[in-house]
Amino acid sequence: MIKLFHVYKTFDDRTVLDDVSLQVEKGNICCIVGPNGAGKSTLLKMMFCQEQADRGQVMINSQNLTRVHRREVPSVRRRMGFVFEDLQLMGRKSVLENITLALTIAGTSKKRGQHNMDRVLTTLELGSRKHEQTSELSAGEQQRVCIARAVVSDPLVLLADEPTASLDATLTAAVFDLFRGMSARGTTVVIATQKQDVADQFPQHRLVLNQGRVVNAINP
Amino acid sequence: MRYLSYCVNEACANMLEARGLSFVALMTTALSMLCVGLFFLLYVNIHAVLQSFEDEINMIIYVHEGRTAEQTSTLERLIQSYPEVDTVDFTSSQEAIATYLERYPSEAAAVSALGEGALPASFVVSFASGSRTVAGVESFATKIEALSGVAEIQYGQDWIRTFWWGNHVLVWIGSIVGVTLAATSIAIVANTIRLTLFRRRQDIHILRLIGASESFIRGPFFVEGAVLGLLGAGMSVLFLKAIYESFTYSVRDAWIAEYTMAFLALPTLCLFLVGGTILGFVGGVFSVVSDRRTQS
Repeated sequence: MIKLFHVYKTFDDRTVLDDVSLQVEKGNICCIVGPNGAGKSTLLKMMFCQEQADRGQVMINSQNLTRVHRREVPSVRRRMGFVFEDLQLMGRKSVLENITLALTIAGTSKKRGQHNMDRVLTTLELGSRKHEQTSELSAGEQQRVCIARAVVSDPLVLLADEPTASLDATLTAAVFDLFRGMSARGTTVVIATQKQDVADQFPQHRLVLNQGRVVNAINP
Repeated sequence: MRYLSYCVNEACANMLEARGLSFVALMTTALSMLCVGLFFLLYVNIHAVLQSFEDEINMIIYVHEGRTAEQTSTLERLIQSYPEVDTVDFTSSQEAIATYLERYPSEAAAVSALGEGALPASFVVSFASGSRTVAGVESFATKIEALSGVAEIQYGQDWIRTFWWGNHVLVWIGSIVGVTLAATSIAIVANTIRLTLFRRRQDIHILRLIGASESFIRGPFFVEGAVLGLLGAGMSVLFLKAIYESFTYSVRDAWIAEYTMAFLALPTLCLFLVGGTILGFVGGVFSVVSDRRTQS
């Protein structure tokens, strides 16, 4: 479960988030929609302990992230998956190595890890490229590797920042099916996007941001 | 297990990627360990020679002229009563002269000119096994010198002392050189890994983002240091063996060949490898701890 209470954030006197509140129940999918600079990524980064709120509270599974000690951050992140907008892949490592590393860090058992890996590689059509260095892949393939790494350990929370920006319609649909499947298994999913058609895929929960303010919300 | 395999793979990949730098670190460690090994090898062999000298150590106690047979006998019993003493053999003045003349017959005129007391009577003392050390014999000599009737004692003290000090000086020089070179090795391994950390800063950032703990991130760098140290120590053992073999071959006909030159024993060699590994590991720890990039 994710809860944000009256969150504020400024960067150099520029208000990025202005009194944003949000609640996503366990196993639900929520879309944060808004144009560039609306504060979507900053909001996701707060849920991932990458940014700190100036005011307000960020709660993930009853843990108050605004009070998390620096040393506890890795354990918080190990329970989450994050699809980064800038991918953050290890270019010299293969697809398999990038994904296996996430499994090793999360402490997923070898058997379950192998099962998840096979499933994810098949769903995201990466099986034939799994031994390639990620730096050699196309933008769309790299994005799929980033998604695979985020979902492979079955995290409790999945945060995805523009997860389908470089994907075609077929793969976009496959990714959303993957997210829905995870949600059905109890993962709470938050997607940040500026595309209305992506948001339309998940109409149950939505938060519309503009210049850091909530301008519209469906079950926020 | 999976983490250990990850650490070893990462460490090997890092070393292969920076081959030149890793080679320099490897050679420095190998040469440092080789110097320590050479000193140790010298020490072990010189110590063995000293030990063999100590096993054969005897003391000659000369007695004053003009002592009665009873006085001499009392002195002999007194010497025999010391726990350090194994056997005491008495040689009278006449026996000493006879032995001398047997060996040097041409000196007969000179000896007879000096009279009956030309050579003094003496006791030859051999020591009990636990007292056949330079320190033990020196301490015994101090006690004997104080006895009435003892004119002089001889046990080759000058050269034994020189040999003993030589061995100690060797240990000190070896230790100082060893510590200095070990510190150099640690510094070079630490710098090698620091450069790896710099090259890997983006990967380290990503690892943090996906939830890796600091110990998880640091592990491969510690392993890299330990592997560099282990390989360096292994190379030093090979170099040492080569030097030992070529030395024993080149002196096979010289006087020194009388003494059996021993190579380092297997447990010592294992200790050497462990020492090298620890040296490298310490280098890895220094680099990671001192590098702020590894702090979250």
